[in-house]
Parts: sequence; structure tokens; C-alpha cells
Amino acid sequence: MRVVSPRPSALPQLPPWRPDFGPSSAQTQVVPRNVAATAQVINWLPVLSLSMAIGLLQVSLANTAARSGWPYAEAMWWLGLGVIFAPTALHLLGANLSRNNRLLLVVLLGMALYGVKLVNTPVQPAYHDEFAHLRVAVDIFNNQTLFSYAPQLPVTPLYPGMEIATTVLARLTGLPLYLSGLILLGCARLVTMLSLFMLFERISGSSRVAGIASLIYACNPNYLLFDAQFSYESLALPLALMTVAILSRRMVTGMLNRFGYNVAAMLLVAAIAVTHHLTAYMTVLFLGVWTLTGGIQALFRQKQQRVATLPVWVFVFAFIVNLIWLLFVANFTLRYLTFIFGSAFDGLLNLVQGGEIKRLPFQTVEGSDASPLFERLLGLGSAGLIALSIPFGLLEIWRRHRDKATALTFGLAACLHPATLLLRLTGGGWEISNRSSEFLFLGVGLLMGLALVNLKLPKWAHSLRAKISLPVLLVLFFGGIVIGWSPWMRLKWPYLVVADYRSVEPQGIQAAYWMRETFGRYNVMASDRINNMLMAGLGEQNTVSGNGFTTAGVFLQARLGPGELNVIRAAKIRYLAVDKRLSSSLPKYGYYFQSWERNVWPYYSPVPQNVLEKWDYYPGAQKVFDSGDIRIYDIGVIQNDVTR
Amino acid sequence: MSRGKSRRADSPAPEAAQTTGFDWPHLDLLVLVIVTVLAMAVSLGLPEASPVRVPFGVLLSLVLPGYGIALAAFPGRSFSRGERVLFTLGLSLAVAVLSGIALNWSPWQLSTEAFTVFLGGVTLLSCAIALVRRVRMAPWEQVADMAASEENFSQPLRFSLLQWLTFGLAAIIAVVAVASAAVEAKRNPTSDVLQLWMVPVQAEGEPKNTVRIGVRNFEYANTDYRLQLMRGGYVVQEWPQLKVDQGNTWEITMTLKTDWPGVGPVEAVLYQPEKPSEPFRKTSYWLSANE
Repeated sequence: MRVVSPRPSALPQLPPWRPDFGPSSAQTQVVPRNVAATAQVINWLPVLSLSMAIGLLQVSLANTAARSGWPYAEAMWWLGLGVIFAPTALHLLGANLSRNNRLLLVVLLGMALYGVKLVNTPVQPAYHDEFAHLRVAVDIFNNQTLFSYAPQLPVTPLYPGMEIATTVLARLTGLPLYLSGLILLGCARLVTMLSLFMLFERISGSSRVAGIASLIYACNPNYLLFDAQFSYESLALPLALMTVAILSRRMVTGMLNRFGYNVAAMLLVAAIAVTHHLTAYMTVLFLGVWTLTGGIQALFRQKQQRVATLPVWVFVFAFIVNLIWLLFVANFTLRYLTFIFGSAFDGLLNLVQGGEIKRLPFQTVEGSDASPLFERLLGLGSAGLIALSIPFGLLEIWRRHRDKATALTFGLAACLHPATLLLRLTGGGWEISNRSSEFLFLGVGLLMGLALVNLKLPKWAHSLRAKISLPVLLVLFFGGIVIGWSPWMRLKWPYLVVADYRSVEPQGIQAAYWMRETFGRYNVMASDRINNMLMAGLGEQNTVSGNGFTTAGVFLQARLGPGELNVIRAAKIRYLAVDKRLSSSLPKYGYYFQSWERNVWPYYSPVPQNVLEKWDYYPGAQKVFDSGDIRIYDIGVIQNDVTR
Repeated sequence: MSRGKSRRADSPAPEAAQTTGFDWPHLDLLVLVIVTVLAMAVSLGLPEASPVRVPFGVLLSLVLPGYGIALAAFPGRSFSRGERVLFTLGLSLAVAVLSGIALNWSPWQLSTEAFTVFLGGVTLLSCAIALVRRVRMAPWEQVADMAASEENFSQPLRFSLLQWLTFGLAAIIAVVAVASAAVEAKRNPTSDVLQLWMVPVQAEGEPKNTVRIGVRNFEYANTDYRLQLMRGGYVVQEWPQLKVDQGNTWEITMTLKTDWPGVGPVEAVLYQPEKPSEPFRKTSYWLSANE
């Protein structure tokens, strides 16, 4: 080992670094003080932070390049992500890092990856759910009350935790709502990384396993963008992780501090219950399984063996809080979740009975645009590696950690992950499979972390493990992104028809602002998926899309019949926003207006322009706005003339 | 949290452990109270646009309540830095969320004043509880607690000046990355966002068929347009050189006449100078029969 230069002003002499798969830090950590080596190893930390920042800059430049259509922008984007992830992963794999060093690296990585989302949408939201949540936040801010009407996603106002916290920050700082949300979610990301590390460290007893397991958790398909977007899960999930982390700590703490942990856990559980339904229910489920596992362990314990179990009251408290919220405030959630889970179950049943595969992996809903072969291999490689490592991780849990109920619960969660991948072959189940990954990856992270670090291997395999660990982590990371996000969704390439992030552009945004400025808020209007989301989120209009009215016919039918006119009257639609660009191609999302429209009006080519323009010739329909592609019609005449 | 100064598990027992009264060991509580009161004063006293509100607002919503609750919940515990950040942020977020639920059914609802008083109140109450719990704590409890945080066994991170400068450079690059993305996102990537509107004015006392006709230019260049009002092919009014600079709006309020020639709706048609015969934007208005 080289001697470090004593001159503080000189460049740090970095020690030669190589992955060392010697004794894990579980063992090294018991020699806590006067570890002279750590003083040298930490020299890498600033350099790693610099590499993360450079990677982030690359990602930002790639976004800029994509806006102007530069063909190599995507390669630059991937490279930037690699520059952020790979050096950190390589370093965390090493054995000679101090615990604080690992913790800081994990935190920095989490923040750098949050930066990737930030550079995607730095000034305003760009994803469907973000607009829905922004609308709820704006309503809370303006009306100073909760539970307003959210036209896009009616369940969102019933779980207003994230929007409340955003409003608090916006009100106290005077910053805009979206910027406040970004700051809030940055803090939430910090909570995520700290909780993950401490949780994995508590279970494994090793800061090295904790670092690698946290890294693997960051490879879940939703980590990079979905769980960083302005949405309720992005806050609820960090709070849930913190709950589990502090409860696992509570189990081994003395009586002195238990009260503190109890108070913190109760506050967190209550906050989760009012922030996101799925995270809240997963937390209750996790606590239930944890309590049960601990109970079973206690039953079969050896005499005089002490088993730290989670007290039943924690689970009961979480269950009751959620039940109260569900029954007295958010009973609509049952209908919402029943629909999602019902369609997933139907799809799975159909698949098991030999039915048709509704959705092929790596393709859009309508079966077009398969990902490139390389990406498909990455995705499959990621899933395969996880499946392959689970038995080794389970073996490791059984060997060393079977006395910990948390470890067993996480093992169970990891085993469920491969099963959920089957759901991706069904139409309705895709979403459940996708959304479960951020929960199940807790188990996957732990198991793979244990397998990579602690698994006893024959001597000849030691060097093999050192060689393959980094490639494994890279495949997991890039594969996770491939699985989570279609190629056309990752960068801000030029406009696409009904493709959420890719369809949000200045013309639609300005039209939404014009609508609010001219006609005020809460006008009832209808449009396509994209303009609905802009009009509702930014224009604060009450768009009609999924709330019982089939408005697609109003746009897709060449001639308006009594059915379409009745829908307009029944839904009290006053304004229509028609986007001419819909006639340029089929929708990326599989539908223009409503998900079921093709069942009623099947189409195999883009909707003709003259069909969209029919409102130009409808007597009495005022064409009040034209910005080239987007036109807004005032169709109050239909409301007024009920005999027409 | 640690009292005043972070205690390490391997450090000798501090004299503070023997102290039970209001003394320097409670300096952290005193500082917390002062900062909280200051943040509340800023939030309640300064106008919304004041930049001073930003740091104090962030503190009051994301730091102080969680820090205070952690002090109250763990009166004798010494935290590692990571734990301190986790408890501070996590509990602050939870309290912020729950504050909205609690205030929604209160007479004050979700106003700035209500949030300020609630969050400040929670922090001050936590400080009071922490103080009481500390004072009542037996000396043996304080000593026993010092072994609570095994994370403190880890080597603390120390960096040289050059390393701090490297961190600073990394931070600057990260800020540049986000800022450049923000600047790029704010620019209009398309060059043809130009809005034309014609909307009825429904104000009290205005004659029927009064409309506002407007043009807003988000194009990169300042352009001279030609705007015509037409009915049934007849040009009833024209603005031959309508100059709307980039980012500006032109608007006029006027009453459309039912006795204008032609039939059908009145159309506002905008032309670009380079394509004088091809309508660039077009809106239409059906006249009401009774003027």
C-alpha cells in the first residue's frame, strides 16, 4: 500500500483498489476503532462523487441532445448512467471500506439517480400521474381544504399526504408547488437510502452487505423514474422503509428507547395510511407476516434462546389506522384496486387455462415497437440473475439469519418476485407486476447482497465471484431500466402521439394555461389522454375521461349521433380540445381517448383529420382557440339546445 | 439526539451525564427553540415573495419538527449522523403530512398561518417534553444509553481541503446539470406556437356578440401578421399589419355586428406574411340573433 502524502493541499494518493472478497465487513466491523486503513480508503469518496456529477451532466446533455434529435443521445444517456453507477458499485463491492463511507456512497448514489429524474422534468411534470397529483396539490393550495375532485385519477385526493407536505413547503417558503415537490421528494430519496442501508445492515449485521443490497434495490425497475416522480408512492415508500428500518432497530434496543421507536413508528404508519393505498397495505401485510414469522419462531425456540419479535400491537395499530381511513374516507379505493387486481387475476387465469398471451415482454400495449435485442437480453438477464441468486440467498439466510423474522420475511418477498414476472404476460397484470417490484426488491436486494458477499464458495470460485460481481450489478441496473421504461419513454425525443412524456410539449402546455386564464378553473371539458392530463393538471379544468362517460365517440365518430350528443349533455361537457396531431399516427399508449375505445370503434389506422375537424362545421359550436394543432371549441350550444 | 455535542460511544463519560438541571447540556434545545420561533416569525411576518422565507420555510417544514420529536422521543440517546438525518427528515415529513389531516377539520384549515403555528407548536412542545424527560432521567439511564448506537463505532469521515474542494466541484457540476436541463426545458423547442382566440365577453352590461380577439406569440421571432374578420367570405374588418413581438400578446375587445354581410359564423383568420393566402390560424363565432 502506498504512503499517503502528508500535505493536505496535494492531490490525494489513492491506494490501488481492487474488489476484495475476503472476510465480510460483518467481521471487519467488530474491530471498530483505530482502523488506520480507512483513512486512506476514504480518499475515493470525493472522486466518486465527482464521477456521479459528471454522469449526471452527461444524462442532462443527452436529454438536451435528444430534444434536437441527435441520434447518439441515447448512447450518451446510457453512458451517463453507467458513469454514475459503475464506479460506486465497484467500490461498494470492496471489503476495505468503513461503514460511514459505504453509507455516504449509498446516499450519494441515491441522490445522483434522483438527479436523473430531475433533469428529465426540471420545471414541470411530464408523466401522467404527476399531472394528477399536481392538480390535487394545486386544489389544496388554492382551496385550503382536502378531498377535492380529481378528474384524472379520482383516488388521488383521498390519499393527499404527499400533496399536503408539498403544500406545507410551498406555503412556508413561497416557492412554486412543483419545485416544492421536487425538494420534498429529494428529502424522501435521502430517507429511502438511509433507511435501506440501516435496515439491511440491521438484518445482515454487515455494512458491506447493506451497501450492496441497497445498490441492488436501486436496480428495481421503478427506482429511477417512477418512484422519483411527483406521485404519492414517492413519499409513502420512503416512510414505509423507514418504518421497517426503525422497527427492526426497536426489536434489539433496550427498554429506554422503545418508547421513542414506538412514537416514531406510529407517526410514520399514520402518515403512510393517508399518503398511498398500496404502500400502506403492503406495509400492513409486511408487518403482519413479520409478526407471524416472529410468533412462529418464538413457538419453536430453544429453551433460554431469546427471540426478538415484533409486538402484535404494531401490526394491529397499522391495520386499524388503514381500516379507518379506508372505511371513513377512502372507500372508493376498494373499487379502484378491485378493478386493477380483478383484471390481473382474470388475465392470469386466462393464461393458466392456455389462453392467448395478451402482452409480450418488451413491447408496447398494442404489440408494436419491440425493444432492441440487446435491451431484451439485458432485461431477461436481469430477471434470470435474480431468479438464479434467490436459492443462494435463501441458503445464506437459513445458515446465518434464520433467527431473524425480518430476514425470513424478506426471503419470502424475494421468492414472490419471479412469480410476479408471469403477470407481465397478461394485459391487466403487467401493472401489478411492475408496481410490486419496489416492494419485492427489498427481499431481492438482501438475498443477492448476502449471496454476493457471504456465500461460502470453494477456493477456485473466489476469483470468479470477484470478476462477475460488477457485471452482475450492471446487468441488474441496466436491465431494471429496460424492464421499467420503454425505449421511447426515456428521453425527450421529438413529439409522439399519445406517449405521455413524449407528448408533453409547449403547445399543449400553453393551451392549458390559456384555458385557465380565459375561462377560469373547473370547466367541464373533454379531450384526448394527453390534453386531458394537461388541461386537468395545469389548466385546472374538470376533464371527462374515465368517470363513466364514453367520450371517445365524440371525437372518433365521423358524424355525431344521438349517443354522442347524449354523452355531452349527460357529462355536462362545455368545451372540447381537439388535437390535429392525433391523425398523424396510432397512439403509443394503445388508445387516444379512453382505454376501451377500440372495443367500441375498432381502428387500425390513425383517426382521419376530417373526423377530428368535424366540429368546425357544427352549427353553433364556437371555435374559440386555435394554436395550429390544438383547437378548443365551446359547445355550450349542445347543452343549451336539448331538443337538437 | 446528542446534547449540544455529539457523544461517541468510545469517549469517556461526559460530565453532562451528571447534570440534571437546565444547563449547557440543553443548549441544543435552546437553539432549537430560538430557530423555531425565528422561523415562525419569518413565516408569519414576511411577505410570500421574500427569499428569506425559503431557508426558514424549509427548516420549519422539513427539519425542526422531526428533530424536536426525536429529542422528545429519545431524550438520552446519542445518534449517529445518518440516524440523525433519518429521524429528522422522516419524522418531519410524517408530521407535515399529518398536519394537513389535523388542520383540515379545524376552523383555520390549510392556511400558511395554520401550518406555521401547527409545525412550530409541535416543535416547541417536543422541546418541552424533551426537557422534562431529560431532567427526570436518572443518571444511570444516561450512562447506559451511550452504548445505544453501535454505528458510532465506525470511523468518522474526515476530508482534506482538496477533498472538500472536489466535493464542491461535484456539487457545482450537479447544479449545472440540473440548471441547464431547466433552461433547456423552458425554451420552446417548437417554433410555431402561436395562439389566436376569439371568446365571448359575458360581462354584465356588455352588448351581445361582444368578443375578445387575441394573438399571443411564442415563436422565436417577432412577426407581422395580417388578421381578418370574415363572414361568409366577406372581409368585414382587417388589421393588415399586426405586429406581435415574441412573448407578447395583442388583444382587442369589440362587438360583432349581426348586419354584417354574409351568413354563418364570423371568422377571425390570421395570415403569415410569407403565406398571404393560406390561413395560419382560424377561429369562429356564431352570432346571437338578438343584439
